[in-house]
Amino acid sequence: MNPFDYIRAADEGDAVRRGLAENAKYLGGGTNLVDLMRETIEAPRALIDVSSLSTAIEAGADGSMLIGAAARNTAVAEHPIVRTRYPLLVRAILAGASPQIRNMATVAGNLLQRTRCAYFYDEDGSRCNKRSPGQGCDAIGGINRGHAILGTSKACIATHPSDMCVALAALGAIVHVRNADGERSLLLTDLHRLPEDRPDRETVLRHGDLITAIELPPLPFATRSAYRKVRDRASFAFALVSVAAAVQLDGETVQDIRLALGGVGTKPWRAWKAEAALRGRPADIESFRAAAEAELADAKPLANNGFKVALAQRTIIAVLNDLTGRT
Amino acid sequence: MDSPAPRPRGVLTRRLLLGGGGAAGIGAALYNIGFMRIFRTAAELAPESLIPGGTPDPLLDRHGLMGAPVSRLDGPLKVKGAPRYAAEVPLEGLTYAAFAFSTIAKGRIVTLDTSAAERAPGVVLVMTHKNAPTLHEATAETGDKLVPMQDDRIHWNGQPIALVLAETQEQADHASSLIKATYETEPAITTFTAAKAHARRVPYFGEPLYNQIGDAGAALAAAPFKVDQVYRTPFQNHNAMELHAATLAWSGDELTVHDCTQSIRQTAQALARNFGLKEEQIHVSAPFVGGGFGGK
Amino acid sequence: MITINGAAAPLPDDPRVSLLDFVRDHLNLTGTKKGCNQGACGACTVLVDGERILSCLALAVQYDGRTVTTIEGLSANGTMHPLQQAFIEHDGFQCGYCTPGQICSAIGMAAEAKRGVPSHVSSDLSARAIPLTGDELRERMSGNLCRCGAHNGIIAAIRAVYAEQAQ
Repeated sequence: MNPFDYIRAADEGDAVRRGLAENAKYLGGGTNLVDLMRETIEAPRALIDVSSLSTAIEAGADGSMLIGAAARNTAVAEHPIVRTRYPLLVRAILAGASPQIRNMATVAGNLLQRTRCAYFYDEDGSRCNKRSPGQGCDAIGGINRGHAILGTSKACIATHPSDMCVALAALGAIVHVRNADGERSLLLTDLHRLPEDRPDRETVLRHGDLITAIELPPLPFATRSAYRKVRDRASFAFALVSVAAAVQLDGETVQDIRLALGGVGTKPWRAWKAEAALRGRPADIESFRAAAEAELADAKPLANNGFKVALAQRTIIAVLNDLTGRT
Repeated sequence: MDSPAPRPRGVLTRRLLLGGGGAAGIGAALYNIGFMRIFRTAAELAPESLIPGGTPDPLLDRHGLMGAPVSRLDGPLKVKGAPRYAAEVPLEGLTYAAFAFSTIAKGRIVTLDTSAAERAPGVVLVMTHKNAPTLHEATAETGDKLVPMQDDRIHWNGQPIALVLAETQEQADHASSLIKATYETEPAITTFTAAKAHARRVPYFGEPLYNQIGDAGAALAAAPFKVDQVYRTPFQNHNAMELHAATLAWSGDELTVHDCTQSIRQTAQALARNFGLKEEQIHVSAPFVGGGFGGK
Repeated sequence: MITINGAAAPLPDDPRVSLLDFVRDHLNLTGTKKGCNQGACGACTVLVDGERILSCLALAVQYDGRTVTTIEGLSANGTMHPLQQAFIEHDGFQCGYCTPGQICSAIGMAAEAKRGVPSHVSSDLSARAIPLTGDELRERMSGNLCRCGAHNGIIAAIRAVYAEQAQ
């Protein structure tokens, strides 16, 4: 680990002033950043500890929620109103990592966590365009069982590892950001970039941008929701494929639907095509299958992860069957 | 029934083995049968400390234990985190080590730049094949004869190519990340399928690895019902919870090694041979090992 | 200052020092173990203000002002924590290397369950009290690896102590 200065930010204003310094990074729970620093993938000169700034979780009268960026994953998952209003978010958080990590990890840190691609981590031995743009990608012709099939490019196929982000994408979550020159907000689905030819640019955030909160818009039908994670082990493993879904029925018709995928995308994958193919359709297996196929139509399977195409489709169908009482 | 006169080596009496007088008659009859002879031989080889007059084994007079649950003697220590494993022995003036590792599987080091590491804060030593002491060959427990850091040859991906000693672990880790190497790569066999083409018959712990009983091929061909399948297992690793570690110190000509190994004697012998020392100068200690599973 | 097992300890000068290396190398409290140094094994689990965390991913300087309990702090003044006694009675270990992490993790786990934190296997997310079935215990302890295979003894020991929460 390279040497660095450690500062605990007094408040948000203090944090964003300090955050402008060259090669400064914000520190939340450290569960990803400390690991990356130990591997010298990240080497900030200054760490600005923001982990005790905004931890509050507030419920709005309109049914929305505002979750402070420094709220711990466990705190969000155990919150009684989150459990009632947004069960898929709770399920997604509880499916991720281990209890100890969930106790430490902040919500903002979960958003900004980086891929666990083994070639990305192998700084001395592997070529990686995310670490060094233009260097090459050894994952594409290498062992890529865990890599993405959606949103990939010739430069990068790394999977986004978060579970929580998949649920947030489905919920249309809004990310509140603050910089020295003011505040702004954006949809979570616009936060993460596709790799294209610059996989090193993972979000649209500018240097010094501090995530201050995640807002969950009201979504009454989110009470009928699910998060299913398919993985090699029963616990403490990343997703091969995961599905977050919420369905609103009008009789036997899909009135509204939210769907997002994990384990298959280079960013948390909101399944816009599948949603469009389902709204107003009968809630039956033919519709579910058509929607799943539409979403996976552009999938680009690689040597070791072709199984994810069918697995994703079947998992989508299974989750929708469950949610609409067909199972 | 009569008890026989106590044997000269008092450890393994019938009474101890069979847990009480009631079964003694059976014991008398069994005593000279095959497997009991093994126990008798073991008793004859038993160390002095188990002989009457020496320090008695605490379990010597605990009879009736067969079939009774006994808590591990080191339980109270382990649940308190009290035992010292190999990396946990505090010594004065300790320096901490970190490695740089090869990133190719086979070939040789062409350039090895340690200048930044040598200048890094707290660094006491950077050792590579260029300045490592000459070590004599010694055959390890596994039959391996490879002696580390004697030349520029790379034999496996992950082979240590440099060792850094520094005043703190953080300084050592940081300095090792500053070491840069370039390599000349040679083709390496890294799959079982490829290696099979170059298969050799070798003994393993003194036993042949090839055993043939009957003619399996002919039996399979002639069988009315056949199952002929190939099952593959993934790569395996010993994966003990305790990471490999050692704490070492010289005191004059005496070398103390706190190691995590099941083979303290063989480790001492190998070190003696490697460094041209006498075995009596080397004291290897491993009272607690955090799992070995074949790796220690 | 960090309070470790009731005693105040000044922060290390080097912010790179993990909480794990701080207790092991600076304070000579070697009960907490380094099994992977990357948050994958749980052997480094300690309690911070009663909550279980992985000390290998924690920078010591981040825990200024916090109260840390390591395995050594569970049996201060000679009396063992009931869970330590239960680990002995139910053979919850072999090599002993994962043991301190298992015990600290289980204590943290019981506190989480008591306050109603759900788990991946909890069927009813809105339930306030979640009985600690075998499946719940195993899921909640899944962040602690054991290579010797003492899992059954570990679960039995936890059950024995947290019986009123367990089923």
